[in-house]
Amino acid sequence: MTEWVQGFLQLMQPMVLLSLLIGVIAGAVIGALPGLSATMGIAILTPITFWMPADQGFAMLIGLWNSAIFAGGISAILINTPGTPASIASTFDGYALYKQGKGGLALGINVIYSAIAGIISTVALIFFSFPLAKFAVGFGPTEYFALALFGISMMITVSGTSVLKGVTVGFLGLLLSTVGLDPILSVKRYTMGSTDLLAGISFLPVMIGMFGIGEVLSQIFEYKQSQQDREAREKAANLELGRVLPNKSEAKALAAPTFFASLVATVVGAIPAAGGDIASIICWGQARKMSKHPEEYGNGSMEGLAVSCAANNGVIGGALTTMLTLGIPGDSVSAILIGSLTMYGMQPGPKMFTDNKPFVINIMLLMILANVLMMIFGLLTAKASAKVLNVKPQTVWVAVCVLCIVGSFALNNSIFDVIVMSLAGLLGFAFKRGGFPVGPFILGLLLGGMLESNLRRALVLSNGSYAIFVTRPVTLVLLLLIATVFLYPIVKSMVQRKRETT
Amino acid sequence: MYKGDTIPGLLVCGVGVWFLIPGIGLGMSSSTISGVPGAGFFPVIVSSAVILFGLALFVKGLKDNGKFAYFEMDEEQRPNIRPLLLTVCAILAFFILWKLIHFVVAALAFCMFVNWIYHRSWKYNLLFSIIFVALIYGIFNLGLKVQFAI
Repeated sequence: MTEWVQGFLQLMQPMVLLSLLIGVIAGAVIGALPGLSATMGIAILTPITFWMPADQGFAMLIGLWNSAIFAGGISAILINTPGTPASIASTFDGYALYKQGKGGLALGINVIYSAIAGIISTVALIFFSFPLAKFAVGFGPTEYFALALFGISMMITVSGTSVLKGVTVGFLGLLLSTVGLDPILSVKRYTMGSTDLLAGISFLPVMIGMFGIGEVLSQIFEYKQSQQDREAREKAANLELGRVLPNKSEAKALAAPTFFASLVATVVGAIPAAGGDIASIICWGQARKMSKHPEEYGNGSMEGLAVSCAANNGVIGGALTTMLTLGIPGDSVSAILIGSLTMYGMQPGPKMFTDNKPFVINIMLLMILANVLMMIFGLLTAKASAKVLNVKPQTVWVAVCVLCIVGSFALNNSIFDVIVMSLAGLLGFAFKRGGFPVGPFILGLLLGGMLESNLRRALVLSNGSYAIFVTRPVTLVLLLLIATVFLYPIVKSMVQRKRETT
Repeated sequence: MYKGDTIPGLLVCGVGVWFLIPGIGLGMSSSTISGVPGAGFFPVIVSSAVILFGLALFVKGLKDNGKFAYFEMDEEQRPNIRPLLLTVCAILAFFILWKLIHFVVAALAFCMFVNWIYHRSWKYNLLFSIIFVALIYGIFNLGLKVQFAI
């Protein structure tokens, strides 16, 4: 308990609170603007945070993450376009509520239930991460190998429509992770005589490029004036927003379904690669089935909106559980946070709970503070938040390009990182246009080192015998899960084909 | 004749081969301990898998017969090619100007040029470029002490 009180007092420093507030404001702007995702925001802001003490840096990143996810609902409600992919389900009911003259209430529900779900998922993080980390302390190389493989396989199966394209880019990421010094014998690999490549290809410039420049190029490519005109018409409608806070009976009716959605979203968030978009769609669908008024869903149901808002922020605690306890990113944002922690000299995983326990506690407390601050800020600015939507995409493109270049340079004061970022931007653009999901590539690059070093360590321990992977129960279970994840769609399509022919 | 995923499939195969050949040279097993994998072990496995997936993509492209089109755009999106290519060129020019003159000049020139190709008014262009570059320089150089000299 003393550690928690000490952590809390440490976070009450003015600079930490200011960093948190900056993160929340930046997140609200980034999340509200369609096309700018939380991942892009975190990728761009990360280089700035490296120059700050860890508490301040993480306060900014966690503030941004929580706030960007909630703010994605603002444009979903006001212009029927989700600000971030996680807010897609908020368009189902949020826009209809706005059309009914209840826009203020929809914006209020968005911020209140996003923050409450964020707090519930953080409580789950606090309760489950310590025992999970304790259990994972006993993990050896085979378990870590299987975990890394599980993370990549989950990302492949849930991202995009083509598993083949997902698996291809996932393995390309793994291949790129082999550049640099070999993790066991320190042999130079694919360095082509370059000293910059000795340390390998850092995944942070790659992420900044893919989610920053790559996204901007993609938006320029897809730009449609008619779409802009439609959004301008929606904004010009400028309907009455009305009250922001739900009344007592509304709040009472929304309590149970949003609590349930928060718990489900936490579990979904803990599964590698399953993000807010998946959680909010699952929760919205389930809540409709269980609702007393399913017919209202999709036509301006307050319950539907509250559930989807709770679900998209509820995943964050779950994603952090996987990231902190096992070192496996739950989504793209937690992948960047792993990079940030590494830059601060910390390695996410069970050892972090013993080696850097005070910082783990600070992250958990920051999550609670971020949600409280987000709720206050969101409620105070609910009616004014529509103004953010007036920012033109072209303004964002210019700003993002410059920030990506400067940010990737600031990581190590290295122009090499800027070149890597630019090439990754072009590659990200090409991937997007070709229907290749970017997530597995990033995860392959991030987890490649972990996968290889643990695979080889395991083989060293067993004198080259592969039996070690099936004799350890946790490893065996994870490998069976991976096999199920890949075989399930194949078996399903075979069964379907057979049914169709008979 | 271009068929959907065929060319990307071949490109992926090419990347796999490019990693596979030096990977074999790195050695599959360590020279010091028998049976223990060497530096080339993991790259060889992964690059072989990449080649296989590339081939599968190539075959899928042939089978689909151009069903999936890359860089597909409609009539309304066609004028976007020019700003897209000019943005990429502007990023390259940014690096050159940064190296040859100074970061501030490069950033200013970049902002003004891209704002111009995005058809922003000259008044907005000038104001945005000056304020934004000053803000970036202030935060990174004066605030975070990032040295922009390369």
